[in-house]
Amino acid sequence: MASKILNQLAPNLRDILENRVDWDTVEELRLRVGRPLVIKDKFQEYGMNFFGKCQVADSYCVTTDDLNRSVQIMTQNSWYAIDEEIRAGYLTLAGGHRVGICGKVVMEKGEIKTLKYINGLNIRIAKQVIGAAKLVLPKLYFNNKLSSTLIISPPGCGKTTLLRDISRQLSNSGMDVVIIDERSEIAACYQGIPQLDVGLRTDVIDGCPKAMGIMMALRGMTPQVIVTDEIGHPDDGYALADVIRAGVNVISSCHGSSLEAVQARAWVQLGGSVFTQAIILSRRNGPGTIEQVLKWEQPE
Amino acid sequence: MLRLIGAVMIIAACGLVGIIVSKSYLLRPKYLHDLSAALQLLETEINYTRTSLPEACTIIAKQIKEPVSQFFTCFAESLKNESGVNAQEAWDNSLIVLVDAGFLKQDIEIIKQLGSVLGRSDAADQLKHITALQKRIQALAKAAELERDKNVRLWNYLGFCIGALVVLLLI
Repeated sequence: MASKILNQLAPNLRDILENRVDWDTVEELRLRVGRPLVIKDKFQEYGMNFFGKCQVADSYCVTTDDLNRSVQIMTQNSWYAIDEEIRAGYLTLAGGHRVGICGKVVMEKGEIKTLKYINGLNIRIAKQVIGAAKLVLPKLYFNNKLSSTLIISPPGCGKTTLLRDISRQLSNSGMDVVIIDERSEIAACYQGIPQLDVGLRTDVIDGCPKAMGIMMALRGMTPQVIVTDEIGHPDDGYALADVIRAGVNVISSCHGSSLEAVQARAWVQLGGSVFTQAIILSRRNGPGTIEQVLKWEQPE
Repeated sequence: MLRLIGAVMIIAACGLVGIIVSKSYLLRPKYLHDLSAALQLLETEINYTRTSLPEACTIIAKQIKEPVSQFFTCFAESLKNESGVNAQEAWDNSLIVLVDAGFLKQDIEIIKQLGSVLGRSDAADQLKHITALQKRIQALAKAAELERDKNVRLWNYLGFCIGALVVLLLI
């Protein structure tokens, strides 16, 4: 599925990457105007030119046209359809791959209006790792009861992959799961349909801000578990507070390196007490390494 | 006898040419109105549902008559086939459909301008461009209607008259 990403790139880049890249191992593709194309896999970064794999310094030099064309293909020539996402600095491709965008920001009345002169793309390849949650899953249960869990880690440690597999396994074991997929990363919905396996009993609210999505799920979908990604906005805290009242379990992720750092944030005061435990991840032994499982103690 | 047949054939041929020319005057305003309606639909698709350009144009093609529908189908298909063309190239390439259908050079020049901005900005800006083009197309349609009223009957008769004149000269 990752090879489909080729069709989302400008023809020049396709020519270089076609048949030369093992898409199963690639994690990131970085395109910067006037600078070499960089490919990152689990262990190393390298370049690519018309002769094949090479040092980054010898890699193909990305042009403005390459970037503009790629963005036009990625947005299906319909910038207006995803300008909300672009203003947030990213867009999601069919297959759930996330593309971060850099360029000149145009401001209006203190808010980002749009991006122009795009100068950099970071394409993160989404991968479904069936069974990624094998080690984590037993830790989600306490006295045979599912406990609400916050998964904490820095970027790139496999939070989303883990959440996806947790949803799949909980759902297949008989629970009604609702995924609030604000950035279409967990279920990788394309035109509303999940592209990745998220389980038999999973509903997906796609592209919806977490706080609103949580309310929608509680109101209409009677979930047993709500799964959501990258909690952080104070509004999320208010929505979580409602979840506590409804008695629904939440499995969510959050950027951070330690429990203390996360607990200093505003949303924790509002709705943090929904969680009963936190799992800290790292990349020490590859993405998804469990560092610690901690009991959640709501800060005063 | 042979002369008579020849004369009839000349008059019929010239008459037919006249009818064909008058038909082009008859069709152009219709086509321009169809295009204006299509742009109105595109505006709605972008404004209310933020439908992507290829999808929106496929929907529009189903609701509009030929040849404008064919133009939108052609545009949508070239965007969908993942060959790496951008909206401007796809738009420009599809214009050939309208040229073949009898749109004039001045019409094509105006329609072409939208290609350079289509799909490249937020919805509000897209609407501005589409509305501007729609207004110009409507103005063209009005002018085309005036021309139609002036020329259709003229060409219908003129063909036969020229045919008759040629016959008279030959006799």
